[in-house]
Amino acid sequence: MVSSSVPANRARSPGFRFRNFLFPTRFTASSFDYDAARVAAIVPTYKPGELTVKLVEDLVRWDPNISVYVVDDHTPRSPASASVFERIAAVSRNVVVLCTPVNKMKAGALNFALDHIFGKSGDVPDVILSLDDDIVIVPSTVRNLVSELLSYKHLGAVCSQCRVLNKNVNIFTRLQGLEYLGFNATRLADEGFYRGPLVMHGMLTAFRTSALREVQGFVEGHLIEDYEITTRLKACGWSVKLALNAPAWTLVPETFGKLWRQRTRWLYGGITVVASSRHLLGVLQDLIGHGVFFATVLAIDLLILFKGSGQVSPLIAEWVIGLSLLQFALWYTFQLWLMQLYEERDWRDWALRVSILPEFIYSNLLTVVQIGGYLFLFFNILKRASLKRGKLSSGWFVSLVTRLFRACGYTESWGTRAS
Amino acid sequence: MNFHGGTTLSGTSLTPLGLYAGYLLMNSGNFWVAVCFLLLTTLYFLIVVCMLSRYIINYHRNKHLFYSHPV
Repeated sequence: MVSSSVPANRARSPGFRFRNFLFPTRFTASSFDYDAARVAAIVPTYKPGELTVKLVEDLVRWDPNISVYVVDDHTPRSPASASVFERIAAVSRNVVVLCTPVNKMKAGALNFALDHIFGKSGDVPDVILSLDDDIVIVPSTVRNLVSELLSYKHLGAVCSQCRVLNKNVNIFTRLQGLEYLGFNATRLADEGFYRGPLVMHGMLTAFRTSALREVQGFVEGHLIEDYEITTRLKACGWSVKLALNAPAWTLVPETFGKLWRQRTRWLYGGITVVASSRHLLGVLQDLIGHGVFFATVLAIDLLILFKGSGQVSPLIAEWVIGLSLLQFALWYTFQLWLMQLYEERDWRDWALRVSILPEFIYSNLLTVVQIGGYLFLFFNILKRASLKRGKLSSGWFVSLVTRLFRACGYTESWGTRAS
Repeated sequence: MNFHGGTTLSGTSLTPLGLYAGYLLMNSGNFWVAVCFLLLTTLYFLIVVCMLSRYIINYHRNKHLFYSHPV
């Protein structure tokens, strides 16, 4: 049951328009009464710490009407963890601590809470927030997120700005801070482009309850359930967007190993979403990215393979080099300009950005992770095809390659919170 | 530089790849492959320009939201 404070009729999201590549669609906001909106927050957690307690306290302090469902995803029992859950439960009467019977990973924990919310007698919230348990918000975050979502009838989900809480720890965290600045910029650029940004991240996203019901919750066992659910929202005709005035800070990996592991999951997970998507427009930005990359690599291979007679006009070579340099200059200027929006910046961040090289190495490293993702997908397709035909005679070889990929961080089976 | 077309970081390597392709073409190459590469470089340049255009338009539409929250 949706409350009367929320526009009852869902507006139809516009379909694909070619002009949106250059000119994003603009939508008109409608008014609503924020105080009448019912909001629930789901915080799946495994081995929660101080940040989780602070997050629950802040949610209740700044939005007293919010219902908070903290889902203990089968944290191993210890006096310390019991104490943390007791403190969380004691924050307010609006806080409910649920416990999954077995470890279900993030998507499973979210669905567990959704079943609880929808199964309850009484009012179902208008908006459901999904939050990571290690984020920090400001007083206006939830209000602005919900306001943005309910002001536009065509929106199914709105995500927060993502920022880095521990960006000053070392060069890896600083590079991720700069990278997250780019994530926010890309999401802003994608507003009004087809049905909005590619991913409503799991860190903090507000879902319209009716949209969440329509897509029947999260897919469990997926490597990146946030990207997956965003594509299904778009396939159902919902649009999504970033709420610029709703910032949230998260902890990013501080070591190379943890960063590598996170990115293998993100990038391979992204490839699997694209590979399994039936609604290709929902993954349009990724299709363009993968397509351009493969086409470029293929063209270079052909250039090396077919050397020809050497009678190519130098004009063509000059144009290729010139366009590449122009594109680089444009992008570099944009990256420098973006720094003015980076409120946490200091001279070290400026030095990293201006000097180009660290970010260049970092992003090419991520491209290596991406290529590993392609290879892993190719291997898995071959493996399944062989299994289907019953021709998996060299099982030891498959096992060896699987172990090799696992050693490099590529697996198909872990969830959001691998221990 | 980073180009996030989504979860893909594919654009990352395209500038150096473009320069490398240009270098290869300077020496020798097949005419049609060279034309295809030029079209591809142009396409990628247009993708970046379109993304920047959308960003600039949306930035001006939402400028008032950038600094409206206390940190």
